[in-house]
Amino acid sequence: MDHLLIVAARDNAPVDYLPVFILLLLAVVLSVSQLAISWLLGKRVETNEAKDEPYECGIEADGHAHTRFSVKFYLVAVLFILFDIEVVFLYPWAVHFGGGVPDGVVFETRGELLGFLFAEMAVFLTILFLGWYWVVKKKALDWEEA
Amino acid sequence: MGIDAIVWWLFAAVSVVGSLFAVLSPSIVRAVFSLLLAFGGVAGIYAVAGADFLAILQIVVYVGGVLVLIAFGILLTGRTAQALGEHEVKNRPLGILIAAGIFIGLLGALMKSSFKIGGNATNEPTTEAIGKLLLGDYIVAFEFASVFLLMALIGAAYLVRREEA
Repeated sequence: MDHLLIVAARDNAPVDYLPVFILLLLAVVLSVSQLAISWLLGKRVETNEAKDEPYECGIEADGHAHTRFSVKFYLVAVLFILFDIEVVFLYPWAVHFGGGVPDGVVFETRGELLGFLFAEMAVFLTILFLGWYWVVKKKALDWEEA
Repeated sequence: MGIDAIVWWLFAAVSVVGSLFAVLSPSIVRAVFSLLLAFGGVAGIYAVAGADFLAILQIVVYVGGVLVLIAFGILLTGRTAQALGEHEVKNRPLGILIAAGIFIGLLGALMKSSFKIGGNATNEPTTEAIGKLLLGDYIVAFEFASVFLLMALIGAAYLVRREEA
């Protein structure tokens, strides 16, 4: 198992992540402590059949919560994933755009480099938004029609 | 054991516990949420290993994307005995046998390989270097990625759309 720890044992790797870890820790502490406090201080309420109903009064619930949903939801999910993956490409591009240094060979000045990067991303986004336009035109996202 | 090793073990434990819950939970919805824990733990391991871009990728694609797709898949399949955890497990011995075989194979491969870190390994953030390569040497692949995404988009919309009367 030793070789698995080599990656973890490198110098100063997690230092940059200290704020993230503190945030994670705070999130866990906050949520656990709130649940614990309400469990400790809260009044115990006896449950019965009526209390366990989704609605305590009104029309009785019929059927099951696990019903099938329209396949249109699937399109929304797939579209979300596709634009999610687009963000994956945007992220390194944005970091490079922010800190990019011209190499002096292809790009003489920073302005040239940024212009090139901007044009590349414009092409990338245009291709994807063509698809978006097509989807909207096809009324694939139109929920009104029966 | 340094602080980074402790954090590594912590994330490893989170992902193992999450995976165990995902496999053992009879309810498919709970399994999906346990998978969230497992994916998050793996993202943490990537971060500790210094692969910051991979960690972000894990969160954006797996936690944000794949899990959403699985959740929508459950919405579409509706009320089945499997989804409600009411089915009987069949073929358990065969399943255990196959899982054990895969595990032994993976373990063997893991033990035989050497995880030497080459001379190029640094603790520098990887995202900017990846961005530089993606928009430099691999610019064609980068632009083609958008074409592939477009294909997937049109394919999904075509499959889901109503038959035109």
